Amino acid sequence: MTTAPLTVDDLRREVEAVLARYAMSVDEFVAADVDDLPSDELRDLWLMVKGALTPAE
Amino acid sequence: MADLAEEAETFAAILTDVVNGTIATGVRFVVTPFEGPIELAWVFPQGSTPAKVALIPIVGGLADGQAPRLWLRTMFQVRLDDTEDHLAVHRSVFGLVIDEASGRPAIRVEYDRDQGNEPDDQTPATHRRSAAHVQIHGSSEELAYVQGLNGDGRLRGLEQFHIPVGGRRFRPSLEDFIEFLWAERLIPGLHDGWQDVLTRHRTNWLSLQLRAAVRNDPDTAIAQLETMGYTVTSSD
Repeated sequence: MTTAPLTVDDLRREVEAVLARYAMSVDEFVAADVDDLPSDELRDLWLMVKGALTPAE
Repeated sequence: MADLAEEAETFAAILTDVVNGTIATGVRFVVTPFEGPIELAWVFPQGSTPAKVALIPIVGGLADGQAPRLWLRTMFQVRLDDTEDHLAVHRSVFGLVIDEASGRPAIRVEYDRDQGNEPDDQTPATHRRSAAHVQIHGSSEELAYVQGLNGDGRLRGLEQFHIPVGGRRFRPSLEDFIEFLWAERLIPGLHDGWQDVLTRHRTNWLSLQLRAAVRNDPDTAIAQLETMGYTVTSSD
């Protein structure tokens, strides 16, 4: 089964909601090294959004 | 040219069969396409998003109605490969989770394509870690001793070590991970018939990986076939 597509804006909002608990911005997050992230939750998230989100210009 | 959604659906059906044939019941893997500047999709259990992946309760070996105490976390980011003819997993995680609320893992297998060392890299160790690696959550007195011996001032827990596991072609599959959990008695049991499920899908996985390895290095494949008495000619 294929679900509805996820847009860049949808994805960014979802990531922002998670990062709010860590006081981290999306731009900081996607630019970070995965091994420097403070939790496994963020590590998994980073792996899944890498390539889909890039720092804002 | 392959269709990403179609290929991802096939992959999702395999994952569904693997988990329901071994550790879970009623789980369905779905495909969520990304509508963005690059073509990719996520494959994960129904109810997941890239930001929150649904855990799979491990019920194999439990009596009917018995509540699960362990969970499998797994998710994949997939794309088409460079030829656009084949599905390629770009990133994957599978782990054994010991607490549903926090998602705390005991062991994780990660794959981060193009973001880590591969066994056939021309310039090894351009990254700090291997693209395919295992992380075990815990501590090791022996590794703490070794770190101290080498003057490492910031002692790292076991989960900070990325133990390499074969690279993109020969990394462990989900089938391998599930069998490992069972063989090491880390899960209560598996459903009847699990061997057939794992064998069938692992055979296909190994065949796909071998085909990909041949595409990457046809000269070695030709040399081996010629050693075995075959004559290889190109249709070009």
